[in-house]
Amino acid sequence: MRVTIKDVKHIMKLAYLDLKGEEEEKMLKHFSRILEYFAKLQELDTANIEPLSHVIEESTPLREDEVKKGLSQRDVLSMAPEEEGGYVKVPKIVE
Amino acid sequence: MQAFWEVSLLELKPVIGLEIHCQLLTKTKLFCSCPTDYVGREPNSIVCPVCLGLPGSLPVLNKEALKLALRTALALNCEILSKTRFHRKNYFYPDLPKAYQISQYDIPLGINGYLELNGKRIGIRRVHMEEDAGKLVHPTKTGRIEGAEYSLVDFNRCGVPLIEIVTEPDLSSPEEAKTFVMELRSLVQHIGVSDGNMEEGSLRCDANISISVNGKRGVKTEIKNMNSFRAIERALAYEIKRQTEIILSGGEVVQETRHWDDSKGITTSLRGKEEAHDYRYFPEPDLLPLIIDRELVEEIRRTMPELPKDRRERWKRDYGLGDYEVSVLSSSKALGDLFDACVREIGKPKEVSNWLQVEFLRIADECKLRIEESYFVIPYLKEVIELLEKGVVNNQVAKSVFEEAVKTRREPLDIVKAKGLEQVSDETAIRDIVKSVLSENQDAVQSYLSGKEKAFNFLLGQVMRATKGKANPSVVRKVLEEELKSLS
Repeated sequence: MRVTIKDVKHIMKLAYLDLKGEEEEKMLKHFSRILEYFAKLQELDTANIEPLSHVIEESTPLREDEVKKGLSQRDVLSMAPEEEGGYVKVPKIVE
Repeated sequence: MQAFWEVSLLELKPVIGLEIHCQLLTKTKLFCSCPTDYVGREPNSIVCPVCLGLPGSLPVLNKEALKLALRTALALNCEILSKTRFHRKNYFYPDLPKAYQISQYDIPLGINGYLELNGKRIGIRRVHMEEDAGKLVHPTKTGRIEGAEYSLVDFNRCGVPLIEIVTEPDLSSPEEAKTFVMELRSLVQHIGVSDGNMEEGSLRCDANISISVNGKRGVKTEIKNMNSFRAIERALAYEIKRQTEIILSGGEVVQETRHWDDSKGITTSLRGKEEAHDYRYFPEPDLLPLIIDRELVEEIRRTMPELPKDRRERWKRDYGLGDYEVSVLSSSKALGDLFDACVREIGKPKEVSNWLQVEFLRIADECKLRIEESYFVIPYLKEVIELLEKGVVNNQVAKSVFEEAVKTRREPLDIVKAKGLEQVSDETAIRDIVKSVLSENQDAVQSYLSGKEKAFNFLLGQVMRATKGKANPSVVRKVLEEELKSLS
């Protein structure tokens, strides 16, 4: 599969990244190298092998439904660039 | 452009599928121990490093959320998969601090279920768990997103456990879609997995809708922002009309997400805002796969609370109630619970059903009584039914005494005594009143004697009025007939 500069722009948009022309070129090269590597891997016949998403075969641990204290509002807001009335203030989301 | 005779030969059928999200009734969030009761809380006061997605934090699945999700899937007759897992659904939006939602993608919890709707099976494609996002506030004068200079974020709802239920496109009308959501809400309420409150957003519904032409599937649109049962019905009816008009004028429906505007009564395109959606799902590396414990599944199956359909069946079988009565009583779990409690205390299911449906619901509506908080009416209802059966009061008086008892919280018998409302059945006393009514209403008597039957009811009414409604109506009727006969 060939990656084009259009694909790079699409991924950048999804990732909220803003790259300059030469950086896009550099990304294109990185993407191509990664995809070529995976294309190589895909030559392997895995038709009869179950996909493995985790190396541990145990089930995910479960937690009892008991409330524990989290962060205070002050702690939360101290991490925010801006706040207003207890809320985190962010740039408007729709043009 | 097609000619009208070609058009008229087209068979157009709406094809509707629904996606419903319900908030699960757990104490804590899906992957952390923060509480879930965000309504009315100070913003950003029930969050922690896990639900804020701070570096180094790790999610741990809530066992109770898993149980409630399994109970829902089983109640919807789903096949429970033996091994499932969570995925990350990636997108940027300020209400999602991690920039991904933990959801289920390729292997949901349950598949291939159904919910029966008036004898028709509506397929359930999948049931899965996921976490909720936070809430955005747009500080403009109108409260609308347009014109806001900035947005405010409250992360309290982040991580609250949701169950998503996806139907097959088996629904064929707006009304059927609405009825389905009502039935599903009743189900989740009955099995205690969600309060199903649409106004507060603990039950949300999106729809996929297309028009098939001569059996050929059409292009579908997704409708969002339907926040009430009425909105579901109106939005789908609007969308059917819109798509039909496009098809009949030879155009093509565009596949897109549309937003229901309840005040304008239209759907509008969200194109542009949504087209960048490419969620880049991948397995959540912070969680192991979830292997479903078969014993847990069997235990949940064994301890399944009574389902709405079984409850309706029981009311019909054991109490002899009719379809209509049963449908009113099961319109909400709360009313059904009150009915069962009344019958346990009073017996007489038919009378109780009648009183609850007609008198109680009217009074509750008028006084803004919550059904959940109306159990105090049970002794009043018991007493009123007894007073009526013993003939102490007549039917009309019983109704007004019940109403007054509920409103003032006084014993019905006290009200009857204090107001002297005991039924008068004494024939001699009633005959005196009848005679005086007849002499005061000569015109009506004449028109009755000349064959106008209606005049009888007028005279009956006058006698009841003269006794302030306390007379025994059947005695009045008998005496009145006798007296009129003696005049003819």
